[in-house]
Amino acid sequence: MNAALKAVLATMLNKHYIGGKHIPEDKIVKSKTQWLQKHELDEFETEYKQAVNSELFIRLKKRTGKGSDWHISLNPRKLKEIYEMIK
Amino acid sequence: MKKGVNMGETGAFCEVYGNTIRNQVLEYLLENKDLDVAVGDMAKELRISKPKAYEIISDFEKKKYVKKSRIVGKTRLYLLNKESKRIKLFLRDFMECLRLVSEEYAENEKNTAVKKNGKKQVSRTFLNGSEAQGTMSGEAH
Repeated sequence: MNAALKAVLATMLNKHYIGGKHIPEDKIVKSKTQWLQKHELDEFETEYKQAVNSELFIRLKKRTGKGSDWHISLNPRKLKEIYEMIK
Repeated sequence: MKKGVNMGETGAFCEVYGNTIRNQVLEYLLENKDLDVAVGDMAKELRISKPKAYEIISDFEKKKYVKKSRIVGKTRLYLLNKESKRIKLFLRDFMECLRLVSEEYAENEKNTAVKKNGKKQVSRTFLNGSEAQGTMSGEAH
């Protein structure tokens, strides 16, 4: 598993971004992928899309002052699976 | 000061071991254990001053918790030193904290499911009781 995706999952689990508590997608993804090289970034994008499709993340569009943004949180039913992936 | 999402919130690790600035930096490094970290970005996310962040990182470098990774442009990146015995201890503790969080949420979900089922059973016995006594409206006496 890509190191940046592990970091995203670990940060969200540590900070309790689970279920109803969410964070802007851009904020967390950019902070973890800022210093990646191009091939690592491509790997991260494919693995992130797979993770979203397999419902590890709950992805919702939330209204903000600027209009609307995508927010993500961890799926509370898949926490054990997420923990095993981070190990 | 902007309100809204605060990336500098305390995580499970700091809840257990204390919410000091050093622990927040250590927690940040543990979350990004396989990634290169820039000190300026770390200071911005944790909402601490850059001089303080540089002071802590240089102290961690002396203790061999952190090692220099690479330079991108003018930015020096650092990496967690996973070969250090103390960092291995910290990593173990961090993973235990994450395991506790996942278990707590699993328990909470079970409890909320039990409460919902309990409410349904109470309403059924009430209907059965009134039906059994024949006191429902619509029946002629």
